[in-house]
Amino acid sequence: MNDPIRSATARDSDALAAAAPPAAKPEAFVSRLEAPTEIPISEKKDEPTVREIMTGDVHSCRADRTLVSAAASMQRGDCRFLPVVDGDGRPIATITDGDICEVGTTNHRPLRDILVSEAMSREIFTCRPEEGLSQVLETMKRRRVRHLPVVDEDGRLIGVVSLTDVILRVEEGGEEISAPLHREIADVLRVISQKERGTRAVRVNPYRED
Amino acid sequence: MKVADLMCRPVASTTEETSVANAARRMEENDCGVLPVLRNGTIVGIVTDRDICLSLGRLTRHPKDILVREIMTRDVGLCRTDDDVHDALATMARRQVRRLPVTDAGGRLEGILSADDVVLHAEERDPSRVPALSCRDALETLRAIYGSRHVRVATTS
Repeated sequence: MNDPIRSATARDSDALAAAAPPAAKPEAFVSRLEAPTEIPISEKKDEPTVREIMTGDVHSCRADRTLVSAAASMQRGDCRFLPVVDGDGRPIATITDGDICEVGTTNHRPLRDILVSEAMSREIFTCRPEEGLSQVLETMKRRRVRHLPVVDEDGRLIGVVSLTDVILRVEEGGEEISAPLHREIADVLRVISQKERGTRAVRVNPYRED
Repeated sequence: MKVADLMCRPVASTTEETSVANAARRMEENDCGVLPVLRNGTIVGIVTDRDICLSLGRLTRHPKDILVREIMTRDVGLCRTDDDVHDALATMARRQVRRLPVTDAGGRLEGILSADDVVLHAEERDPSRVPALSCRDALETLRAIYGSRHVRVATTS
């Protein structure tokens, strides 16, 4: 079945973040659309970290399960995205409801006979809980993804951070942090929508009726 | 700023009697994850790739044997081409949906307004003047749309 990951620290740190308003350092948050370089964590101490905004209580699935179980996990978790983990809890792939819709409607077999491994995306990018919002937005922009599994030092899944999580929390840092981040969020949306419009493959549908 | 300035058009649609297999194919062909459902030119529902995914997991029938009317959402939030974008954003926030079908004054489908496109357009405004649509307004809407998604239990018919 699925492997719910529990992390008690994800939301507990909210109070800490609220209690420590960040100092003004607007120049540190300029958009890096043209220069996707690694941002040193030490420069970003004032902004919220992944640990503070991620969803720690996430559903995941295994590559050898069926799409029925993945769809059920998405329904239970009210999510569109599941990390696929190996036996040690390390993310090895991702799968979305769009993947299941596409494979499920272009395959002669029912979902209960199709494995997650047949529909999942093996290209996987992760982030660490100590990374800051700017760094995560940069990764989302460079990799053109809305979700990133969060892994610990051993590479094990401890949560998921989404663009939505960033949007929901970005105001809390105050105007000096949120204004530049608005721009970065829009940058991420722009490259993601370009990807979604440009690379989607049209497959042959065996159920075609017309 | 009017909805017509930001909406995507033309927009693909489907009907209640279409199979989810063909609805999914139409989504792929049109590179979208949502289709308004039309009956005699009137919007009677909306179906998304998520609806199809969840229905395939729930139902044991083949996707060519499941009809759109079985899984579509009937209570659809709409906006009009000549509505102010802020009114449309308020509808998205109230209904907690990212996309709204857009109709003309006669109720005919004209396009789709997506919250993501609104955010993108807000970003493109000239920052030296008060924008017709501020980034803050757009992101505020996204926050309202997603705000309770994390706790809402997904409902399916």
